[in-house]
Amino acid sequence: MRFLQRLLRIAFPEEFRAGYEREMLRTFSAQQRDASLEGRAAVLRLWLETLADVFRSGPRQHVEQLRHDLGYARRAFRRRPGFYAIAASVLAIGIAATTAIFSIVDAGLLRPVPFEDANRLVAIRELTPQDAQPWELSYPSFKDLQANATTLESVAAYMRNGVRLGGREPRSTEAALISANLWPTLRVRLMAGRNFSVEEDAPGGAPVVMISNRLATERFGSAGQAVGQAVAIDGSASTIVGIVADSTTFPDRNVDVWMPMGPFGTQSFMRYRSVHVALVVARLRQGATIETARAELEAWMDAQQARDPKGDPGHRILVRSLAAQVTATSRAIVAALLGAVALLLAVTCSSVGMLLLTRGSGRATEVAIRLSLGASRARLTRQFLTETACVALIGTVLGIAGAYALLAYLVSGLAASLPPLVLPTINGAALAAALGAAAVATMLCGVAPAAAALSFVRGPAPAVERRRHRLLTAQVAVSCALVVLAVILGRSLDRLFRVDPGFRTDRMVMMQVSLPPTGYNGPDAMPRFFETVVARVRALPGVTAATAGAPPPFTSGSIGNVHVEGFSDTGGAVATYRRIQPGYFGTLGIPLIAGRDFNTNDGAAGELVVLINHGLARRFWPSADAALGNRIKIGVAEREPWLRIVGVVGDVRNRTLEEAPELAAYQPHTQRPWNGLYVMARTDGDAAAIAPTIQRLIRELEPEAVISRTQTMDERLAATVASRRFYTVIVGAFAAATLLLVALAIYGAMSYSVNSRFREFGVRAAIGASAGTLKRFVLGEALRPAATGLAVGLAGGAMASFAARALLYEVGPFDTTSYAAVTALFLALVALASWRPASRAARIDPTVALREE
Amino acid sequence: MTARFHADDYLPLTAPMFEVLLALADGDKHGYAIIKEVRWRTDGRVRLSAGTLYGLLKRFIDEGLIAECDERPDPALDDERRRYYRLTANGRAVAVAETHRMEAAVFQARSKQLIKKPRTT
Repeated sequence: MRFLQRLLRIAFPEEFRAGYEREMLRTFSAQQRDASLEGRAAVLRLWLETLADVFRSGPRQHVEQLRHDLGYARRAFRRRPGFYAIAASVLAIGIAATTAIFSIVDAGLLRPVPFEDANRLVAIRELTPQDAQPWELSYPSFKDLQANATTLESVAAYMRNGVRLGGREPRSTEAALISANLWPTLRVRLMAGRNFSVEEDAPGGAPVVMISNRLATERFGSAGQAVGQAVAIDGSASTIVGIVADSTTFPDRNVDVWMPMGPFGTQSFMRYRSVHVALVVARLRQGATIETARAELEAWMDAQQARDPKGDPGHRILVRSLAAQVTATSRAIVAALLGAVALLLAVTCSSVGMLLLTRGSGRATEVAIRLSLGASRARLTRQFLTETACVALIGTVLGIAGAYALLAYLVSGLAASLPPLVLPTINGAALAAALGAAAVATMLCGVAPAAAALSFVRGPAPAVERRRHRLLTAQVAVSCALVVLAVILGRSLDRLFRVDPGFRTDRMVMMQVSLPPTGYNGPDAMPRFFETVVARVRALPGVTAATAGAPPPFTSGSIGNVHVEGFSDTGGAVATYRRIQPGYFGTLGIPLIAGRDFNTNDGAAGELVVLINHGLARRFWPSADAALGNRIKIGVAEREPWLRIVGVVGDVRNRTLEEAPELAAYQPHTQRPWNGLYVMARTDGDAAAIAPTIQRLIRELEPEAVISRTQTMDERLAATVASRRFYTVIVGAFAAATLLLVALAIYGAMSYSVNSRFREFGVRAAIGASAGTLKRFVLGEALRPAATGLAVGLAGGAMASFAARALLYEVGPFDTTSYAAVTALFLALVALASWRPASRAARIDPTVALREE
Repeated sequence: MTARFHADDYLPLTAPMFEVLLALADGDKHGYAIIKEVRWRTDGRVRLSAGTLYGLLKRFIDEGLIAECDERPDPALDDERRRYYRLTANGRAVAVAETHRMEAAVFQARSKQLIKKPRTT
């Protein structure tokens, strides 16, 4: 009998047992007594039947009870649809924002390098006295390291390049020149085919190439079919030997073609130690650390400089993990973002918790009545659990859908700003963590009123109220800190956009035009083509000015050492140089400060001339005018000719808006021909709209020309601030989410406070409190905890902004305007969120309120 | 406010459900008495176990088809006090409706000559 009793305990819900266990046992013992009169077989049969029945009807009772609880829940939802909608929305917003943002942070910053054993991969660069940005190594230096470094297991190099892809639809595409050991060093397995051989990665090697799976599919149908086929790269046929999977986005996700760099070894840009072209990535030998590698490479650098003191004076070696290299600009804010994710989750949980606790305390009467009518605590707990589980379920489903939608939106909106190697996808662990935390918070707070297990609901009412206020204070503080950071980042971005780059970016469109490798022989064939294009574009209706040049603004461009006639030491000055067509300065709106612009006399046969920017002139001469007539060289001294300075132009922020203008020189395209220039046009209307007309015109002149990278100058400008914008948008998204959650929480809390104190307000009204007084009373109730939260939050925001000061531009971390704006915003938010509850309190009719009790 | 009661909403009943209602049709009974009566009346074809029986009783009580009476001693079981159950008006209506339903089914079967003639006992 005891066995049966134990079995009933396991199989049947507690509530059912409370009503029927005794009866069931009695009935069974009576059955057993009668069966024993019929013999052993009958007793055995009774036991078997009863056991089978327990396992059948026990679960049925559980289902029955769940159905009951769901019915209760449905009725509860119907009574307070607004409340449950708010609770579910809070969960959904919290889960969606937390998961989507964490997924981006995770892909971009936590796991930035998707390669095997990635913590042994290092990036090697050179630090120069001239430039804040690290430089590439020279190709000879790379070969040196590859042959001699003992702390490195393998050393690989790559450089970016654009190539012209032949075939039926010629187009230009991103390419990378790589050393044969790049993929083995990264431990990347090819999708099909093989790696380059050492012979192919050397001068005179057979023309071979690897292409991406997407290009292979586009051109040949599949990866397998592409291997062994020929493809025209820059006009000559190359054999495809390998296919790179689309998930391998190295050096970035736009690269479609990889070529061995060795065959270019005879070209000048690969021969000189002073030409920095090779991006080097290496794998540490087992047991070696970044520190030991750095020590070895520093010694190597010193030895190299001792051999050739004039080579690259003052250069230092930079060895850091590949992950650090990829996320170099973003380290400062990683911790802040992760902290923000945790805070957002905390705000979500506490908002839901507070809503449910408030709701729970409003049901104290209901709970008391049902307990006194004989409902067990377990029964009530179970019912509240079902109710909150429904809320959690709805919130979760909406939250998951929201997370996917939000991630898709953020990824498409921020494509250019995302770190290059990994494409963010919803992170399963993050989703699980968000769901888990939200579910636990929901359940605990939902059950609390019935279980009375949490300290939150124990104790006298004022204590509960105090705890709730503290929770609200904490929420406001967290949200406020995030909003402060977002506002300061946003204002900083806005300031950056207001920086004068030195030229006008509005209503300008540009596109890269690359001429085919054959058919443009003779020194002036290419310049003449671009002169014709520029003249035809200028004649188009809607175009006010046109020119051509390369590289375009907001690109670092080619860099070379500056040599000045009469100066034995130039102090390591380097300058960018650009090839341009006449009309470049007029079209871009760059002022001519001294001397003259290029003209038609500056042809291939004339004296070699150059225009320099004001910064370069000031570096060596007292004034712009004094620079005129002097001669300079840019690049390798032994190889480059002297150029006569004929004019000085204004400084331009050519790289990014935040970096000060660099030293710059401009040479006429006629004297330094190149097959690819950017054609630029300024319009009197929508610049993007005129692009197709210009493209058509160029194709008429040269059907083989490759036209690419068509964009407006404003788009190009936006790309330079992309990563800043990335962080600003992410922090902004956090801030907006917490703001919404806090508003909902305040609204929910105040609504309930007013509802549950219906009688108190009735009494106040009866003894003469006016509607205005009541309204102010409720607003004050909401404002008091919020004000404390605001003070704490402003301080937190200041700390966060100070930590993120590397991302700020001309706006300090203690920018008073921002703090004033945030304070006003929160006061308005609290007033707005508690307005409706306050109005309800003001409208309470004392006679009704007093009668109700 | 309660919704209007429709006996047809509860149909069809399963065999154990119908037998339990039927067992209570001629007077209040306790659980074991119901089991015994059903078993005897159906020649042992319907054998109720305690789990099934009390599950049904709870459900009928929740739906208002039967009601619990006061506990009283069962004369057959010495002095033990037992709970007794009584058919309510609604419960009776449901049992009657189920009987009519089965009657109609038998009529239909007969008109199709599935069975020959009414069995007389």
